[in-house]
Amino acid sequence: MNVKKGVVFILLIVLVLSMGISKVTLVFWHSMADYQKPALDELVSEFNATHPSIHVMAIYQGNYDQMVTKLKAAFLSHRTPDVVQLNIEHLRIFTANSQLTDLSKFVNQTPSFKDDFVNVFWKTVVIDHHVYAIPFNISCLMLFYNKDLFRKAGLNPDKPPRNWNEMVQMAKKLTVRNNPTSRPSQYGLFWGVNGQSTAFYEFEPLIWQNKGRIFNDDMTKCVINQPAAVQALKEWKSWFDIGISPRDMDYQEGVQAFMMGKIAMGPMTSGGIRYALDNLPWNLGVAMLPSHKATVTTLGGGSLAIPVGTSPEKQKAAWEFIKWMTNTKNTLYWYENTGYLPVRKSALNSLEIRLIWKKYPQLKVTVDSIPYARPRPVNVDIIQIRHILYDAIQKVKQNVESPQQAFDEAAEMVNKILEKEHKK
Amino acid sequence: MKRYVVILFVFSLCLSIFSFAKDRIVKVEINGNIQTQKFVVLNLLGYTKNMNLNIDALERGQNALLSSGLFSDVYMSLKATGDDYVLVVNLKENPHLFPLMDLEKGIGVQNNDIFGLGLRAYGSVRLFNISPFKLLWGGYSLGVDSSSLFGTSFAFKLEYSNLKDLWWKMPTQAFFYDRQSFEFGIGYKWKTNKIMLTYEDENSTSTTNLGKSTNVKFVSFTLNHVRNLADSQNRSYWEWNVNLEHGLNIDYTTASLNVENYYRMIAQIYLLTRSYSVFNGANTPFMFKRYFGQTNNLKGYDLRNFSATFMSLWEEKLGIPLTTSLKISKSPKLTFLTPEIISQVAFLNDENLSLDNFKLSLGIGIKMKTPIGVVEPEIFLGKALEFYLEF
Repeated sequence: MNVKKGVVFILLIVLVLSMGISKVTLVFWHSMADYQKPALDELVSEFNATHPSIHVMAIYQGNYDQMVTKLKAAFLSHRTPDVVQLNIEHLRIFTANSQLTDLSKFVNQTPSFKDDFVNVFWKTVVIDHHVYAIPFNISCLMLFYNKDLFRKAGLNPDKPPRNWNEMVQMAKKLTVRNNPTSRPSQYGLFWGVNGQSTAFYEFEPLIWQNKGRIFNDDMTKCVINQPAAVQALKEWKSWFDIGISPRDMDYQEGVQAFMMGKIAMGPMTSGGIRYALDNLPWNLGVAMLPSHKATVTTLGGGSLAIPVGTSPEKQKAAWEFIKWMTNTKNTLYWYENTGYLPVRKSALNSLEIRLIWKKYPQLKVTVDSIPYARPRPVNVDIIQIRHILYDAIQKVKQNVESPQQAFDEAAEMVNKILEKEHKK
Repeated sequence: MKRYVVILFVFSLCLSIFSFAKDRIVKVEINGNIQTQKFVVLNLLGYTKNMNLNIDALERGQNALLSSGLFSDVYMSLKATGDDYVLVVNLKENPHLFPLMDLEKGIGVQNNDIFGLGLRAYGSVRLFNISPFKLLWGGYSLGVDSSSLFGTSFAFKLEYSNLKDLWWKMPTQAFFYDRQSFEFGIGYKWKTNKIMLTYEDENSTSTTNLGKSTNVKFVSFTLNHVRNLADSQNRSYWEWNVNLEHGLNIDYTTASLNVENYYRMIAQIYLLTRSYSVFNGANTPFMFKRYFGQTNNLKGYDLRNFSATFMSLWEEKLGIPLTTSLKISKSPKLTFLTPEIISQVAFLNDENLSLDNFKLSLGIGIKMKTPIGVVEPEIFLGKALEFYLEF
């Protein structure tokens, strides 16, 4: 009997102790692979070390598009994560079905939180006056260029092209052929357009820079077949036609060739600057995208959201985690170690950012681009729409269709999707 | 007279404008220094009262705090106060207690922030004494040093060793001896340079057939310099140090030169070329060593810096030059496993110049992350095709 009592007593103590040291475990799904993952892991590990009552398990779930598929599947199987990193353009896919927690109440309860976010970034997470995510890894498209190749071609490596015309002229000088009729051994430009996760990302600023539009203001009609956008497509095609850009390379091959020093410049996301600086065997230059009729770059990247269905206790812990991940210090850490833009105004005005610029001057120009950054169009069927637009420009690149014909067809297909949405 | 009054007035006005100039740092708030004293942090930071806000100076301060080894994170921010600023320095301290390993001095512990003064104190016990006389007890070493005394630009070192049954080999015979040594050094660093002046008093007593005691006193002077080579791609930097040792009560003068070049080959693959030479009149080994490794930060602890005599003895015994015995890198950026290819050549100058005096060895090594840091075992193929293992 005494033994039995003792066992019960011990079990009770263990139970009380375990209650005392119990932790809220949060499952965090993210899309940060390769070079961004170590920085993300470092942040998560620091959070776990400084928050004894919360443990975050960070799990990579593929790129942004794959994340959408997996999260949809997770909702069907009722196994959603507690925090999820979603591309800012994908938020509507889930808010349309009320699958993301409205964070407005948390935001309103946190003093000086909302007002410290860069306005243009904050707008990307507000849908119908409700906050469904917090900006975390916001990037913009920048012009990456090889300073060594510039120097070799007799160009000033500290004076990258400021507009399309200068870019084409410089690209001609940077294109190297062993003899006049041979295929270039080095190309001056690769304005590659990614056909995968962020499809059409790199092409959007060309339309906007030419003062064109992709959709009308209320996103009910695709107007990409109007003259300004078509003219941008013609201009883009000409870069392949005149031989300064390789026609037969896909986006990944182009990036690879750029890294190997076979291409002198091209647009890339600011989120890859640190990786490029650490790994490229030559000197990297980063500049604002060359402008044309307007100076514009595209905003991209992700935000942190809480799927619906999590318990209030976990919601509270998840909010604590999101708040911590986006605080001034951590957004600067993230900026320094990746190139994603700092999301806080206090970070942009900080001493630390000036110290970061001392170490990595290439990161400064990304901040200079913020006033010119435009968020990408958003829609519940945006993934499908982007692939239609991407396919259209590929047909033009391969001389299968004319720019007008390709964008007419694409606009028609996209409009059918938009009409169907409208009828719902 | 009126003109002088006007000049004086303008001068006073300028003076008052400058003395109340904006952008001064009037105060520093330091958070997170649990053990390290505030004045040490301020010294490392290079803060002077009412200093102007200067990003270059603050960057140097931040680097000094990080490179002191006392902190793993230094985050600085500014708070406006009127026209001026308060500098807020948030620190995260590193653990201060580390294990210590030395082939000659044994194992022990070190605390790199004793009393929060940024001083390193260490002690080790020589347990691997395998001489025929004693199985375990082989003496001890105690020391205290700082590469940045109280956070200033001054360095100092104080060490006492009492080691038993150290092994020595002469051309005709080998013997064991006890050694008590006292070492004291002071130094100063500025920009990328460092000088160190050391005095050493050493008593040796043979415990085998020679049975005699000797006392040696000598001073040494070391100058270390690091320079980034301004090539077009900024790929390489040099580090060299010269060392001059001079006996005070014996006829002994030695000069040595160690030159290291880090060259970035591609991405983060660096080639480290290390050349080391000693000039003492009779024996002039010249070593040339190449590392091929994935890091731009091969900093570590080279045992030669601690026990050059011991390493030289082993070189003589093995017939090949040995360089680094153990490196423990603090770099968190290292990959888990990094292969290295190492070649080294030495020319041992004696009276008869012959090809035999050229000693060549080739080696391979790996760099591994371990809980105590990065360990780099290296295997060498040297004279007579024997393998030697360096830890």
